[in-house]
Amino acid sequence: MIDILKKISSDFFNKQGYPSKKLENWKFTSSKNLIKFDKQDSPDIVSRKIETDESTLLFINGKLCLDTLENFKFKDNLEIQDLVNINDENVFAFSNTFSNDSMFNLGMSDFESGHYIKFKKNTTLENPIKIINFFENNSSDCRITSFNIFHFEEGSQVSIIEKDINEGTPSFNLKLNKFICDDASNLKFGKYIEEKSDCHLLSYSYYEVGKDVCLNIDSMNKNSIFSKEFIEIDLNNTGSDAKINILNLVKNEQHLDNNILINHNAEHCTSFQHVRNILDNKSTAVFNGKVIVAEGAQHTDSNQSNKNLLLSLDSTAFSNPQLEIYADDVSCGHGSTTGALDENSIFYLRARGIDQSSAQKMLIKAFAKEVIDEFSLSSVQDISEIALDSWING
Amino acid sequence: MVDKNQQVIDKTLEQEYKYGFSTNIEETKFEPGLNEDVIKKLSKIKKEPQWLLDWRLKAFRNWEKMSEPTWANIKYEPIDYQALSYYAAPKQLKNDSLDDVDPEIIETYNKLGISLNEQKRLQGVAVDAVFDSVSIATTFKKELSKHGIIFCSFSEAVQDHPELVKKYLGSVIPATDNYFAALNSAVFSDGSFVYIPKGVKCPMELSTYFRINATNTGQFERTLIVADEGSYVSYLEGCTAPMRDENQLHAACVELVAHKDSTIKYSTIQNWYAGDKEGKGGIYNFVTKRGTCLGDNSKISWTQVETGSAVTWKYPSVIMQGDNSVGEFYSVAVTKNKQQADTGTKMIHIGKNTKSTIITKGISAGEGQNTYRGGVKILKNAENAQNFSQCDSILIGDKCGAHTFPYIDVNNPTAKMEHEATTSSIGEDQLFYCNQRGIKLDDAVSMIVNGFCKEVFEELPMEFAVEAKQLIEVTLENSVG
Repeated sequence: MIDILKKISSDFFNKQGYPSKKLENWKFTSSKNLIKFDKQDSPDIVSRKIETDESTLLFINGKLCLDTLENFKFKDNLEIQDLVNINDENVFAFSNTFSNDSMFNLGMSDFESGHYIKFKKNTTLENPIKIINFFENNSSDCRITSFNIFHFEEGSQVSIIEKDINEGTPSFNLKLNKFICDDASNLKFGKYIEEKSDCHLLSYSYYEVGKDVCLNIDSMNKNSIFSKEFIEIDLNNTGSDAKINILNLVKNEQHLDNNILINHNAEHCTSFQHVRNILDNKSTAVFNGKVIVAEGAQHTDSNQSNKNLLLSLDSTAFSNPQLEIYADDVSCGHGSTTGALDENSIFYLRARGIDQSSAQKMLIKAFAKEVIDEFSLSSVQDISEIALDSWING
Repeated sequence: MVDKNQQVIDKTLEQEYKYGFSTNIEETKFEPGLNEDVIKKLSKIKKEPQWLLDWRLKAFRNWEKMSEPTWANIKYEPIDYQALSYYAAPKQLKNDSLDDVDPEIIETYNKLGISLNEQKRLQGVAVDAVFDSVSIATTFKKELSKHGIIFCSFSEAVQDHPELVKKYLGSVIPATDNYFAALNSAVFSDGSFVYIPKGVKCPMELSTYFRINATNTGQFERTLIVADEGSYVSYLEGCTAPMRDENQLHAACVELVAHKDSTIKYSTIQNWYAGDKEGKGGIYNFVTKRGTCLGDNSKISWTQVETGSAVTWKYPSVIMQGDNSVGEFYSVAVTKNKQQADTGTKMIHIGKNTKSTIITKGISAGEGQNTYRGGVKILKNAENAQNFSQCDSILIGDKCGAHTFPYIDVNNPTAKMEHEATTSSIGEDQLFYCNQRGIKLDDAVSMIVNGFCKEVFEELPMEFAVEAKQLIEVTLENSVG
């Protein structure tokens, strides 16, 4: 199965090549920076021991490290298979948007091994599990691809915190993920990315959502030199709720792009996107959000909000909140604002004896806190707040 | 309640287009087809100078290399550009007095309710009427010339004021700007030209009325309005076409140039034939409209009410080059049956303290698809630029669609940019409230929709506002969501 898919994808990529700026999804992000990276052939070198505890799953260069699985506290709740052994094509089904994206196809043709991780029916985990993605390599300009599928069976309640760690020479990490949320499952997914090296990140996450599902995605991204994340959610059955809260901190010449598409394919679903970017120096941020309400998806309630705070003259924000609605009994809205810190608020604080720099920091923090407070996982809130403080002061 | 609503909706959708008659007059028409010879012939008939012919040919050569844009959220049968005729004109060409104009045409315009006759002078609107490809008559010309205002057909302007035309033609929309603009530049046959001299406040509203009559023709008119320093002008545009089974193409260009301290207000009521219930026939309206606020403190304001045309592709834009300049866009777009509209605006902030406002109201009924596509660009030097956009949509019926695609690029931190959009159906609670107070369902809907559009109607000149309100009422009367 997987070989056929890889062949199709590789043909697709060879035909299309790297995406040009003429494509809507790549309009504000150039794929030029990614061309220099070549496929990494032997991505197994690990020079450093990663400390893991019993609630951690470790992925090294995209591959699940089976040692950590031995000690994994919840291993009884899991069923893990190598993707090579899976022959169900539904498991590998992705949306058209992804299938027609040449970088996604590059990833599909590239990856060597990946896992299908299933959380069994009615699994309830009290504490969040951690996923550490560890990337290491010693050759320059290499591309590391990972592909994993997570399946949450009916009634499971799982919280996941994902963290990326990069060591060695900066690489280009291409991540493909699929999340299958069966009926009545509850997934809280928190992502925290703090880049210390100059890694390029391109990730594709596709969520297939069933009935009465509660899905929360929290993400905080700080200091990625180049990051483009695609999130697509298919709300395929009634009563589901998807919430996305994202905070991005960018400075210097960093470039960050959030590409979110939510498809309301069924009645009585709600979705909410809240993305805030804080930009300093010569950085750029892109918000490309879209909600499509299909014909017949009545009683949809959907909201998009994108707010950009520009701290320097040279920073640029692109904001494209889009709605496509084919049903009439819906309530959809979006809002987008871009601007600098409010002069009046600074004056208010200055009048009360707070110096200029502290006043600014206070307001930046307040702006970011509004998203952080919405995060569904308290541990992600805590990490984010610490990261925020160090970013503001750093 | 739902059944009753449906009946009411159906009844409304069955309403017919009232301007769908055609006029039997003798017309001179080119054979279908487009090549350099056609353009040369067109230019020769119009006795155009060499530079204009060269300009047309350059545009045409560029157009041949371009491909039709596909990014818009509209679907239509491919247009065979070689099957269209690029020039159609009533045989009796115009003379100085209205008495010489073919009485049938006068009759046509009377049916349309245009104050072409000077007896309607009380209304104080000066009209330039464009029938198919040529401009028929321009009223109030003498009076306007007292103020030094030039208001004439484009062809006349080319003959009488070549220096002005040469200076401004293509300065806002270059001949190679986009596919339809390039086509228009190559084959435009007539249009209106307005020049308001320094410090003059135009004493009356200027108006153009476009009508497509001949079969198998495209209408390609070009409007150029130049407001010199400190002047003011309010310009109205109206459009209709007869009911025909085939689709007709309308690809116009409108260029506005506002110098220092001047104001241009451009209002459109578009009521082209929109095709029948099955979506057969109707006008393809692919229009490029753009204005430049060249000087400081200048202002350009677009107001449009769109109820007609089978497919609309139109983005009136403002480039705010001068400091403190202002751009405004107010729009009501109604789509019903199988109409599609992809419309919006582009606001480009270049100068300091520039300000733009976008207010759009989309109403979709039946199987209509209504798209707002807007671009707000705040460039690096546009300090303290401000933008406010609000795009609201109402959906009536479960087969229609409303879409919003705003593109917002901000390059300056002192800029203030706000965008808001909502989409919903007419609230049951609102209807109930009205019903409860003895207001009939029909009236309630009309009231709610008119209330919804009020912000835009307020921007229209008085007589246009009344027309717009009635137009919406006629189009959507009795509809409920």
